[in-house]
Amino acid sequence: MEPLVLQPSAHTPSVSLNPNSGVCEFKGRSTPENSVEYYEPIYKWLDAYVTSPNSSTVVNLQFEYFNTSSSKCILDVLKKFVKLHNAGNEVKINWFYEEEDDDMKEAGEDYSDILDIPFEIQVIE
Amino acid sequence: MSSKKENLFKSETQILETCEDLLKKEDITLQEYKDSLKELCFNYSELLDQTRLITRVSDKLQNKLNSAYEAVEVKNIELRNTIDELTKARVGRKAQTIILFIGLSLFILEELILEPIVDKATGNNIWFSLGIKLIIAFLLKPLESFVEEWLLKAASKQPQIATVEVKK
Repeated sequence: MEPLVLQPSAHTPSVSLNPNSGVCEFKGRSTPENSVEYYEPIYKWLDAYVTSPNSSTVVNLQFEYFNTSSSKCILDVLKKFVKLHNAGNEVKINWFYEEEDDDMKEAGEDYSDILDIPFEIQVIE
Repeated sequence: MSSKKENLFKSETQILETCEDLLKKEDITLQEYKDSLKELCFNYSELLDQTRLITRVSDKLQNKLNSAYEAVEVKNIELRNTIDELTKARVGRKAQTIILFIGLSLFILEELILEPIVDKATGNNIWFSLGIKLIIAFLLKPLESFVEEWLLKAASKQPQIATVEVKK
């Protein structure tokens, strides 16, 4: 299985999904014109990854800003990790936010509330 | 736009279609109905959670956008003030140079043209000549203010540096 790397742009985050290390990273702002189209390859990659995952998976999310449709796409991405976790795999979600960015911190807390998975919210100083 | 929304809620739409198909069926047992209803309740609960989350997150991010907008507005005002101050300083220096040139020219003209006439008329009375020089000196300051104002008006008519416009 090949890693998936998407370079960041003004409206899309950087994405790095590595099946060998089990580290999946999302960083930047997510306001694409068509969120579904942007996240579609990520869903496909994750569906394939769930069938043969690494022994331990770490998901690092560090968003500056994302629009409403992206918030749904991010939830769908995280649900795939929940599925992986429910199948008995070790999965940890790290939600990073910049100091003083309380809105992004609370967004992380909201995701954490509805997802039954180890979820850590960490500040970047 | 509608197809985009359909894609975004693809799995939710599929669940709805399955339920609609089930309602159309006639040969269905009570147990099958119960099972389907149970599944529908679970999916509805998921959808409700999702709606709550998206609404909350969206509101928070709107706050973030509002804060960013306010910060840009403040920076815009600061930028405009700095541009105004720089323009005033530049115009002030230009006005001083013009007044220096005008002052020197007036003093030279007074020495070369006016003073011989005044000396002749007043019988070399030094106070008349000094009085004229003083009048010229006192006129320089109001003249500088006038030139500065005129230059400022001219500068304001020139195109300014574009400031950031943000639509809320």
